[in-house]
Amino acid sequence: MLELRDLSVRYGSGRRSLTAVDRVSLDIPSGATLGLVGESGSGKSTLARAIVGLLPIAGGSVRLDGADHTRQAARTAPAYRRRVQMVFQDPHSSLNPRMSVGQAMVEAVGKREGELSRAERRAEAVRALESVGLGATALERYPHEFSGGQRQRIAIARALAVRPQLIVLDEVTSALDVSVQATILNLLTDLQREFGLSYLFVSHNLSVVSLMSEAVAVMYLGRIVERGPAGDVFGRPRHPYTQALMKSLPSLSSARAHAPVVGDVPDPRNLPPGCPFHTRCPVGPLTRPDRSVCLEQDPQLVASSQPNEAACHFAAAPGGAASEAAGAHV
Amino acid sequence: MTASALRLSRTGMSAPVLRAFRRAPSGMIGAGVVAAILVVAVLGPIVFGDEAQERDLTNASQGVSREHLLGTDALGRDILARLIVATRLSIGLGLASAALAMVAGILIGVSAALFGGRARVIVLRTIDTMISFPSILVAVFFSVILGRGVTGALIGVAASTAFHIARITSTLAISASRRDYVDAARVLGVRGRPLVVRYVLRNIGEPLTVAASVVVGSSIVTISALSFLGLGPQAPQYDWGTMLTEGVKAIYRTPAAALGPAGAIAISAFAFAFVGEAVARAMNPRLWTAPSGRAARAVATAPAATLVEQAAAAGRARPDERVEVGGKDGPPALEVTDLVISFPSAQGATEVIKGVTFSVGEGEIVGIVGESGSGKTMTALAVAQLVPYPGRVSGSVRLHGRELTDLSRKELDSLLGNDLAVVFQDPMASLNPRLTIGTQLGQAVRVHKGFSRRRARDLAVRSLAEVSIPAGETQLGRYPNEFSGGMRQRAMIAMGVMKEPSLLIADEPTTALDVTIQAQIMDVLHDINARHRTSMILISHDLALVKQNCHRVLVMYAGRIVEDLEADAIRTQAVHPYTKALVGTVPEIGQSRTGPLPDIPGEIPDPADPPPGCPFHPRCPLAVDRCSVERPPLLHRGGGHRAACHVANEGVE
Repeated sequence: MLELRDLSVRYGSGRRSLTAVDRVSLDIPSGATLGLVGESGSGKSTLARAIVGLLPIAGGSVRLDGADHTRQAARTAPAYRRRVQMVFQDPHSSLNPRMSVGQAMVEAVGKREGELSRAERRAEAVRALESVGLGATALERYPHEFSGGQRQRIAIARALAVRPQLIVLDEVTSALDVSVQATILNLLTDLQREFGLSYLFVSHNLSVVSLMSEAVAVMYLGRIVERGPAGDVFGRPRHPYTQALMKSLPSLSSARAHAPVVGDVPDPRNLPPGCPFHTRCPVGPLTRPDRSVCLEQDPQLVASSQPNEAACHFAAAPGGAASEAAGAHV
Repeated sequence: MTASALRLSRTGMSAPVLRAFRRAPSGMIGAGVVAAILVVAVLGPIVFGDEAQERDLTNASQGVSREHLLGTDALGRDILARLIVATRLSIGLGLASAALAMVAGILIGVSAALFGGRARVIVLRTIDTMISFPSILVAVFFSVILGRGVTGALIGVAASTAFHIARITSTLAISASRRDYVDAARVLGVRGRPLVVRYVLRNIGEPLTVAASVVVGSSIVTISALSFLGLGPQAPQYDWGTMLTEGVKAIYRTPAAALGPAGAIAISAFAFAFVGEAVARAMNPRLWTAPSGRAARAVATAPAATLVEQAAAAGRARPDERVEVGGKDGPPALEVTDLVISFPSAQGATEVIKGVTFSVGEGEIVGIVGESGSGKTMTALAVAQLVPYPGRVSGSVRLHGRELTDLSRKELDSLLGNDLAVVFQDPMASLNPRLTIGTQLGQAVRVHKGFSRRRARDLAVRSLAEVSIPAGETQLGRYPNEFSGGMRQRAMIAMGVMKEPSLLIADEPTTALDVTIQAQIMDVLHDINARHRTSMILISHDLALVKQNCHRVLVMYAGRIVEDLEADAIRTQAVHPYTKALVGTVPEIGQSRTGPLPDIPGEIPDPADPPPGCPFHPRCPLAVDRCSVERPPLLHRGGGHRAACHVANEGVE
């Protein structure tokens, strides 16, 4: 339903500019979830904000059900806002502390198409709160009177109140305890089923993304380095960065592994030449001096026989071993 | 639509605001005085108008007497009557110019926040330039240009204060408009005036109200000052300022003639300031409801920064949790016995840690897990004697047999510098941004070990190498902000371990970091543990991280340890329903998702009002009748495994 093609988002201009999102192409299918994984500085939140019109787009295109919404005005128009909503990471800061839940909900309901009477708006606000497991008693109360999990429910109810088709979920469980996280994830799954919603589920947490998504894209320094069906990306990751993320992830069912990659994410204002991951890559020139192609050529996502595409000159074959053949074409 | 939403907001707001306002005594006193001043301003000229004009040259320039309570002026007019009549002009001018200044200031300030880029810079620079002139000079300038008299004074004073208001407004509005809730409103399609009023102005209303009240006070003073200089109201009009001018001429003969108007100016300025502050406080919805245990919990989870008072070690006997400590190999490094931490609250004192007993063996890594509010961080702070004021600590904390709760402030400083190190979640908060990494690393050993500059430097380089920061020599000259989050945390760890402490407490050391960096930091901690047999306490909300990186895990719930077991056994041998529930909520990659994810219904109990019996029973799937009555003791189950659950401990002695 949402198609991004070669989308770029830039901060600043001239020499100090920073390309936070670099030629990203993604499809969010209707009624399903696309998971977007990446670490801090990967550009995943910037991409999310650009989609909902909080940031202008520097290049590429955005299409919603085939209609072009690349222009900033198109993504801030009421018609688009009604269809595309967002829930933020921290429910402590995404709700206005000076507005009661009722005021916030009634305001959101008022953004729906068509005129509603005051009583209707209130009834709709209650209905939206009930769909997230809260009731009319929440209306008179203020955000600080709720726990973190309840606040996130309110934020979800507020997004639902305009009856969107797509909700961008930006790290919605990162600020919550694991016990509450499960409750919110279950709620999101139920709502998706009930209302046929599409989700863009943005998170740094791979395991949560794997639970929520049908399709997954992995971002590193503003680019998509791997994308495909969730089962394939997490089951047989092909990009060394995806593999490193999975190895770094603590798990209850396995023993500790040593850190799979060295060093920090490079400064996005001063990207390394060639493949942006080569400064940390465990299968790149750091360990294999003969792989100088990584220093010279920026690998692109290319369609292949595998269901998951990886932007790597030496992307692993589905078996797991790095494929020498994959690099032979350069 | 918008209007009715606002109406809803108004009816929902005024009543609690009034109630909260009435609770503040200074505000009520101020309000009384302001009300009296306003009554005088309205009625004064009507009642005393004639008396104030009545000349009696035979009684000119008299002092205080029964007929003339403040004496008479050079024309024999009663000063008190004139003071009362002048109230209307003085207060009226003060309020009018303050209102003018607020409107102009807020408009300029908000426009600076709404503009982006160059326009904002221009507005902000203009404001800065204007406020660099003394207010009285600006006021004099405008009133001279506009001519002596009421209008000139009014506009002059308003202009002189408007830019100060603009400065405050722009700073507040710029920071308020960066909040997530403004973005959230934008995504909903809220824009224009509702966005500015409901989301920005309402959230900066509190400081602006205080500013407004101060402006009313200062405008009264400034207008009086202009009149005093002869730039204000011209005869036959008069205000407190012109009266002060006349009074000062005769101050040696009839001091009351000057003190009267001076007092009136001061009292009204104070009264308006009191009212403004009380109104501002009352506008905060957080103060509308009576404070509850939640506040105590907020205190309890606040990060500690300061070394605080020693607790009287009034050791309470808790036989059910007495435990023979003693690790697998030799005596434990750390023994914590019957630790209780309480914070003052509306109910007297609220215990956030309710009797915790555990030990950490030499070279052992012990993890503490639990939901936020479980008391894991507070326990660690108590071990390091860092419980924030006004928390009270009792119980015993022994490091290698030495009782830490009895140490003097000086001994504590030395302990924290040498034998015990703490690494917090946010390294930026623990590093001084103005000092280089080298200085901060060196300082530690130079103070505590008296090392020379050269030796401290060598040690600093070695410590950096130990936490895998290569080329330490070149890194020493850099500032914390030049480091990435991972590098800063390494530097913090380097600082902690350079004196080879026997115990390192790491409180959520990787929570702010990415997983690939987290794995690197964990490597560093394991390396230190292996090389120096450093004992460690790793606090984390991430059960999987603790399981993979610790020897033993303490599971905390509502201020108590509910289970203590080998980390490797947490998935297979945990017996406490809370531990099992926590394990169930950890998402795993590749987990098949057929039904809903397991969660833990309900919320952690309010420490001020815990449920009777087992604190977990309201959320527990296994709870039996006994659980709501009797709190289960933490019992040994063999092999160092302890658990506090009636059902799980059935048959355990």
